[in-house]
Amino acid sequence: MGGSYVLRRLYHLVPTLLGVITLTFLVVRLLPGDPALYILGENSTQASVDALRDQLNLGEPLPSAWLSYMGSLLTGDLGESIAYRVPVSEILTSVLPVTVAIATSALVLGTILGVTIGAVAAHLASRGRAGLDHALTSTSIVLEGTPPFVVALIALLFFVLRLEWFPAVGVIDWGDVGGVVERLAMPVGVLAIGEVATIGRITRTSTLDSLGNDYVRTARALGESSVSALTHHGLRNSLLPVITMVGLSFGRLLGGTIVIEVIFSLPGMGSTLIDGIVGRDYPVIQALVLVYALLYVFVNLLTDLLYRLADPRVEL
Amino acid sequence: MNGTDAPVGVVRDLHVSFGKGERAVRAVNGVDLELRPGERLAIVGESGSGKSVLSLSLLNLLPKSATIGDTSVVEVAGNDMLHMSESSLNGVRGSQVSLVFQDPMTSLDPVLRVGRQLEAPLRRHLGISRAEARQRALKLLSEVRIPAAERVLDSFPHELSGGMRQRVLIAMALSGDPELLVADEPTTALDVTVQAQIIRLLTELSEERHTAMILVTHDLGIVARFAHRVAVMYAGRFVEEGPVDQIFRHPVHPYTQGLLASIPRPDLRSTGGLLPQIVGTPPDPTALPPGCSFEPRCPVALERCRTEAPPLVVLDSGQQAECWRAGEATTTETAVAVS
Amino acid sequence: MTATATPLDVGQADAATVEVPPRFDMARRLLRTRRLQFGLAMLAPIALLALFEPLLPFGDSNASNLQSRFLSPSLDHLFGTDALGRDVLARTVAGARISLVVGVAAAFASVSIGIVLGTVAAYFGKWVDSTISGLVNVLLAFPGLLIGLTAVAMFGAGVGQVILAVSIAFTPRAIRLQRSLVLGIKGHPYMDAARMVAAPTRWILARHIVPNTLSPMLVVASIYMSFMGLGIVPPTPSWGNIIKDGEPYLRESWWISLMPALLLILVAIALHLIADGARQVLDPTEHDRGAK
Repeated sequence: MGGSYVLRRLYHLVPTLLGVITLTFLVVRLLPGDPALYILGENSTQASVDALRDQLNLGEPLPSAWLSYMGSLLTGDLGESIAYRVPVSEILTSVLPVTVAIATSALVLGTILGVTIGAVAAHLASRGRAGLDHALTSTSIVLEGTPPFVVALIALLFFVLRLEWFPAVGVIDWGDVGGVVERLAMPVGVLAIGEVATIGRITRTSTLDSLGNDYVRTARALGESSVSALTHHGLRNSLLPVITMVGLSFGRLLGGTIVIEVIFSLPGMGSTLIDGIVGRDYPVIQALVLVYALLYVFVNLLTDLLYRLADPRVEL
Repeated sequence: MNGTDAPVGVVRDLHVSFGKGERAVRAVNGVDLELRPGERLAIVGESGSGKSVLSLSLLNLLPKSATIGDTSVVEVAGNDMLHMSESSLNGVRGSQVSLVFQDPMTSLDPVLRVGRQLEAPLRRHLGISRAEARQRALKLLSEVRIPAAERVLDSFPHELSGGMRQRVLIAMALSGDPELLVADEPTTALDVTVQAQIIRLLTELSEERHTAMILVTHDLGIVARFAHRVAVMYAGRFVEEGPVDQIFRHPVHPYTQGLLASIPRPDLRSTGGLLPQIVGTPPDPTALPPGCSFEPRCPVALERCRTEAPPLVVLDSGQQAECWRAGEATTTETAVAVS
Repeated sequence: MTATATPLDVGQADAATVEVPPRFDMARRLLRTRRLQFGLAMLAPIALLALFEPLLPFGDSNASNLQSRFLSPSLDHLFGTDALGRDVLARTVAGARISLVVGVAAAFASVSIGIVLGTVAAYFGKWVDSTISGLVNVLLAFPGLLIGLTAVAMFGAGVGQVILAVSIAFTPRAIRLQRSLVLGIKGHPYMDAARMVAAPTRWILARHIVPNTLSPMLVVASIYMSFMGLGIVPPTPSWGNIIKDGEPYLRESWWISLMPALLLILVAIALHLIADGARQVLDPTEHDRGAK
C-alpha cells in the first residue's frame, strides 16, 4: 500500500525531471549567435572556439545531442569547466556538501526554534496575554520581510569584520569540526532567522486553530490541563501544515544560500555558480542549476511522504 | 426517584454573560437546578437559549471572555466548581463529572488512535499502567455496546462511523465513573435511527451505573423515554420544569405548549395538515426585555407580561413555571398560531 | 383569549445576495488594516522620492569629487560619500528609481502573462492544460531565483534584460495562481465566480495584483542580481551595485554599503507588510488570528 503511492509519485515526477534536464540542456544552446563564440568572447582564437564547440556537442543536431547529454548525465559526467579545466563533477563533490550543510542546518535550526516560539505564542494568545503575543507576531512579520542578504551584510559587518567573532575567509575542512562551525555559524544563523519567522507564524496560527478544535475541548472536558492539551493534541495536529511548509522553505533556503555564500566567501554551490555566470563557464552553470533543481524536487518528495506518514487520514 | 443522598448537582442563581457593558450577551440569566444521584434531567431549548453555556458552566469550562455572576453557585459532586483552582478542576473533570459534546465527527483527535484517547483519561485519573488501561478500555467499549472492541481501539477516528464515535466518546466520559454525566446534544449530528440507539444507551447506562445525567437538546421528541424530569429553557432561564409525564401531558407554559404542539405527529388533520410552529424568533440576548422574555411570541400574553417579569409558580403536580397565567386551567388545545 | 401573536421583528433576514464590495468599501477596509498602514507609511516617502528624483536637488549621482571621498554621514551628505566622492544618498535615490521601475515592470509582465496563460490552461483543459502546467512545474522545480539568474546569465547585462529575467522567474507562479483561481480551487467557488463576473477589474486587483506583485521579492530580485554583478551593472546605479561597490570598504567606510542596505530593509519590510495586510483583507480563506 505504501509502495504504490511512492511509485505513483515517482512516475508523475518523470516528465518534470525530463523537463528540468531538457531546460538545462537548452541553456547553452539558446545563447545568442554562436554559443561557443559568445562564451569565449570575440578575442578568442578560432581553434579554441572549435574545440569548445566540439566539447559542448554544439555541432550535432538537437535530438542526438540531447540523447548524448542524457547519456553523460546518467554516467555522472557533468562536463568540464571551461575556466578550471577540471570535470565539473569534481567541483561538485567539494562544493555540494557545503551548500547542503548550510541549507539543512538553517532549516533544522529554523524549524526547531520556529515551532517552539510559535507554540509559545499560541499558548500566550490562548491565555489572553495578547500583548506579548502581539509583540512576537509583529517581530516575526518584520523578520520575515527582511531579505536575508541584507541581514547577512550587516552581520558580516558587525560580527565578522568589526567584532571579529568569526573568521571572514577560509577553506572548509570537514575534519576540523570546530572550524567548520565557526565558518558556518553566521550564514546558517542569518538564513535561519527568516525561517524562524515564517515557521513560527505558521505554527502559531495552526496551533491556535487546533486549540479551538473540538477534540481539544473533549480533552479538557475529561480533565486534561490546557498545557497538556496544547502539546498532545494541539501541536501534533498543527504540525501538519508546518511539514508542508518545510518543503517550500527548503527551496527558499537553497535560493538564499547563493547570495549568502557570496557574502561570506564560502566555497559552496552558490558562489561557484555566480563565478560561473560571471565567467561564462556554461558547463558549470548547467550542472549546478540541474543539481539545485534535483535537490529541490527530492526534498519536496520527501516532505510529501513525511506528511502522509504523519496524517493518518491521508493514505500513504 | 428516591434520592436520600445529597444532590449530585446544584446550581443557584447562575448568570453567565459575555462581553461587558451594554452590549453584553446575557446567555444564562438566573438558573436554579438540583439533581439527585441517578436522576436524569433533560434540558430542552432552542439554539440561543443558553443551554450549551449552561452545560459548560457545570464543568467550569467557559472561555475566558465569560463573566459569571458573583452570587452564582455551581456545585457538582460536592465540588464548588466556580471557586476551585484549575488543577483541582482538572481532577474533577472526567472523573466525577463528564461532558459529552455534540459533534462526534470532530470531537476526537484525528492523528491519535482511539485506544490512546480512551486510555488517556483512565491513566490520568486512576494512575494505572498502559496494559491495565487497555483492559479497562476494552471493558468500557463493551459497555457501550461496541463489538470488535480490540479492533476499534487500534483504529483511527476517521475509520469509525458517527454512531461508533459517539459511543467511544460516551465511553471516555464514563471512564472515570462519574457521578454526573452531561450530554450536550449528543445525537443532533447523527442519523435518526442512531439517535434512538444512543439515547437508549444513555438511559441504560444511567440505570446500570446509577449515574445522574443531564441531556441537553432542542428535540423534545427524544426526551420522553430518557428523562425523569424536564426543564424547558428560554432566553437563559428555565421557564418550566417538572416530571416528564406532567410536562408532556399538561404543559403549563405557553412556550412548552408550543414546543409540544410542533412535534411532528402522524395525525395533523386538526391543524389542516400543516405543522404548527411558534412564530417569531428568540430575543436578542444583548437586549432582553424587562418583562417576560417570551411575551412577543406568546399567543396568550397579557399586558402585564410585557412590563413585569413573571413569578415562579409552583403547582401541586410537581411542576413549576414562570408565567403570569400559570395558575389558570389550560387545555392541550391552545391557540398556537399556524403559519 | 386569542391575543394576536406579534412576530418579533428581530432584523430582517437578508436574502442571499452576492455582495460585491463597492470600491470604497474595499479601499476603506484595506486602509484600515494596520499592517498596510505601516507598510504604506514606510514605502510612500521612498517611492515618492524615487519617482521625483530627477527633479529634486540631490545633485548628480555620478558626479565624482575626489576631494570628498569617504566622508562619513553628515548634514552635508546624509549618507556620506563613497570611494569616488559621490554622494551616497543621491546614488541611492537614483538606484531606487531603477529598482522600482524594474520591479513594477516585471510585476506587470508576469501578472499579465500569468492571467492569460492561467485562464487558458484552466478554461481549455486537457492537453493545453497539461502542457502549460507541465511547463510551470518544470520552471518551479528550480528553487528561488535560479531561473532568473540563469536567464540573466544568458541574456547579458542591461535593464531590459533584467526585467525580462525577473518576469520569467515570477510568471510561473502567476500562471499557477490564476489557474487555480479560475478552477475555483481556492476559497468559495460560487462567491468567487460571481464576483469575478460582476467586477473583473476589482477581482483581478484583489486576488492577483495586490497580494503577489507587491511581493518584496520582485523588487529585491533585481537588487540581488546586481549585487552579484549581474544584470544592472555600473555606471547605471542600482541598489545592488551600490552596495557591492561599498563592500571592500565595509570595515572603515561602512556607510557606503550599509545606508542603502538599511533603506532596502525598510522597503522590503514595507512591501511585505502591505502584501500581508492586503492578503489579510482580501483572502478570507487565510485565517490569521491575532495581531492586526
